[in-house]
Amino acid sequence: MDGMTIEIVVDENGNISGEVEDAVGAECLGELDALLADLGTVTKHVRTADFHKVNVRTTGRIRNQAKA
Amino acid sequence: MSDYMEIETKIKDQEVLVQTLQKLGIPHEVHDEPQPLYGYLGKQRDQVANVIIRRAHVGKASNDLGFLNTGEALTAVISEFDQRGTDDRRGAGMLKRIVHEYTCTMVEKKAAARGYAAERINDGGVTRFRLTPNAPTTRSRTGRTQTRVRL
Repeated sequence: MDGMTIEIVVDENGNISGEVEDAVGAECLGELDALLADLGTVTKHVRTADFHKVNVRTTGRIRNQAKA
Repeated sequence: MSDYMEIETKIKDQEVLVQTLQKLGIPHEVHDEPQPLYGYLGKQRDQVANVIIRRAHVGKASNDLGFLNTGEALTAVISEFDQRGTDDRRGAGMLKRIVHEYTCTMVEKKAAARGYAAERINDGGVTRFRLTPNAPTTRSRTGRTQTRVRL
């Protein structure tokens, strides 16, 4: 994977996104996927008074955006 | 008196959380056994936490802000008052900064563990990392693929 660069973006809320460019898809996607999996993705808000869930965000998806 | 709320965060590594607080210069206490939190009038509350930022370091009229280690993750314990607004003068703003910096530290740590050098670029409230392999390997380039993962 010589020349491969992975870009990871952490937004102000601590959400993570990642991008791989100039890469051989499957191998680099696997690297990025593994790295993001290492970082964990689950965010859940729970109110203690009544244990009412106010927000649950556990989504994660992968999409291929461009291929040339 | 403001109610406390527990917020499950992405923070799973107490050691990295403590490193993050040190990096941000936020005074804190670390306890093996969870200790009580105190409200803005100095009254002991029912809520407990392992990592505690006392109210004097959170903001004016704030309550203690804590992180309770559940064994699987660290739950933020924050008062309803401090949940309002996201400016730095209240707990929510501080919590946001902590979670952001914790995540950045984890990116650096996990990238290093996987053999990547991380270049950090601060871009407003967003932080970008450009990761490049420490030890280049050969590959056959048969085409160009751009792949994005958003979580």
